[in-house]
Amino acid sequence: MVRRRTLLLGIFILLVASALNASAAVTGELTFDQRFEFKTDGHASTTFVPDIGLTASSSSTKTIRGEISLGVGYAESAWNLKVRRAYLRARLPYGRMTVGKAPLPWGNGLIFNVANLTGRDPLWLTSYYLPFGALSFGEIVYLPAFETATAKAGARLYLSLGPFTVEGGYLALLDRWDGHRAALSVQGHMGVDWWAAAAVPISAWDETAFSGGLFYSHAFLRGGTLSLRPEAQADLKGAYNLALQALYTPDLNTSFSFLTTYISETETLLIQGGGSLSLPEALVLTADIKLSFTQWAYTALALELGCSWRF
Amino acid sequence: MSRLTKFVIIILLICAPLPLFALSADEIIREVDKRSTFVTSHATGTIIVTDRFGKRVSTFETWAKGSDKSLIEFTSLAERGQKILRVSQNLYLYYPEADQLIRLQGAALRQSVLGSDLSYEDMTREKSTLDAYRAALEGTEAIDGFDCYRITLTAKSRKEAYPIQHLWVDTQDFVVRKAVYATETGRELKEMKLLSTMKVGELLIAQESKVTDLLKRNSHTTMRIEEIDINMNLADSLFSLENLSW
Repeated sequence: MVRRRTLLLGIFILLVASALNASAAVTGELTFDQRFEFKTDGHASTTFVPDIGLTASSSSTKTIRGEISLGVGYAESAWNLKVRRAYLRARLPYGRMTVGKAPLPWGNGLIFNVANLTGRDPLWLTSYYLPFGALSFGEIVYLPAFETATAKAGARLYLSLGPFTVEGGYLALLDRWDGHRAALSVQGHMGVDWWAAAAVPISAWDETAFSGGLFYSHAFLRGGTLSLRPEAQADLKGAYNLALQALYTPDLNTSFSFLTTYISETETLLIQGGGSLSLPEALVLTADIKLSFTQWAYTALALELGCSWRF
Repeated sequence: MSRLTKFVIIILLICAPLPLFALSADEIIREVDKRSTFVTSHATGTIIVTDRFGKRVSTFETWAKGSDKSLIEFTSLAERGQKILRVSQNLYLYYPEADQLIRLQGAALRQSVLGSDLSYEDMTREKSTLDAYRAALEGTEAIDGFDCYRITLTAKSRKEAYPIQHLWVDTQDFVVRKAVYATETGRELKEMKLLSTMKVGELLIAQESKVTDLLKRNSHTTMRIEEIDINMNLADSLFSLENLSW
């Protein structure tokens, strides 16, 4: 079974590669992260995480395009090759079709987004996208049981209605009824950007979850921009999560970030602060400190130093 | 010299400067908009950000249709595939890494594009200036040896990124040689200086401009049009979310 899957994957990647013409753009990203962690139980650890990614994407032709992105990372004493993306996209007389492994971002929200029924990572899928005018569209998607246990199918409708964006989505597990979920997400602007979403499991209404957030950006007269992003998630059972992200960019190359997240179910508070420095030639240096508290008691401290270079 | 001859000379001397003021501020701004707005256009260009770390060069390709539709795609390595779409008052960003559409509204429009001294509003603003601003002609002044109308634009509503704009418009070619953007209280925020022009058909347009954020130190942004074609066939579908996320 695994061999058959690997063979299918290989054939598909070759198919995408053959669709990439000679003028395909190839980019790479080399990342090194060094993590030091100290826990209150006396355990200390260091982890070195190198990662290299190569992406080839065809130049934007009018009717067909493809992209392959492969990554090699080092984790748990082994190098792992991963297909991060591999898809073909074709325009049809009406709409367009995507086949392969591609991201499927639904809903709004950077930290909490219950309307993203499909998760954040790229998925193996076949999707059909139909535009309605310039700023609205519908999408039907089938997710085969390729890297997951169950096949899924779903649809979403994205409507730009004046100052609002309204998005409705539905995702069904094909082998059982209790995995069906519907979601509605609305985004607008009233002094600050705002969004709100609800996701309803069809067979368990009491597990309905909500998420929402605000975004405000302030440009200081002396230069520099401060962005604030509070977000929250809650469900009908009383569990809730809160987060506040602040990002300050004093100049073109430097940024400082602060993120605090509270998870009520585990009574965990995470506080993260860091900075990044962008240098010429697409080189970025980062440093982050993370503090974890459980039931208001300090449990771990982690320091992460990173360096990434795009070539 | 007869009395009649003297009278004619005096009248001619009095009327000599009049041609410069024969146009009203509104007419001058309409001419600026008309000459910088094409039925359609396609251009490639470069944005060079100079700061304390040196120079960063980004390249882009842009398409526009009329005054309210534009699409910019960045083609340089660090930001390849990022796009900005404007259709009327709607502005969307697309990040290829996440395949994500982001709608920008309100204060977010003033955020810097690629860390430059240009904002999303600067890059994509509509060219129907008189819909958003009242214009007043303040006089004439030479900029880099070119005679210019000095015009002050005052925003009609508070939603404009720059409540006041001072423009120096070439009296011959109607290109904006210099602009200063300010707050309602007159505090200067940004300055644009035209560095070079290029001929497109019969028209002279800005080729290279230098934008300086007057509130930041030691940085400026130069934007240069490398090639431009105008009045070709561009489908409306080019300016859509479907094409943005293509």
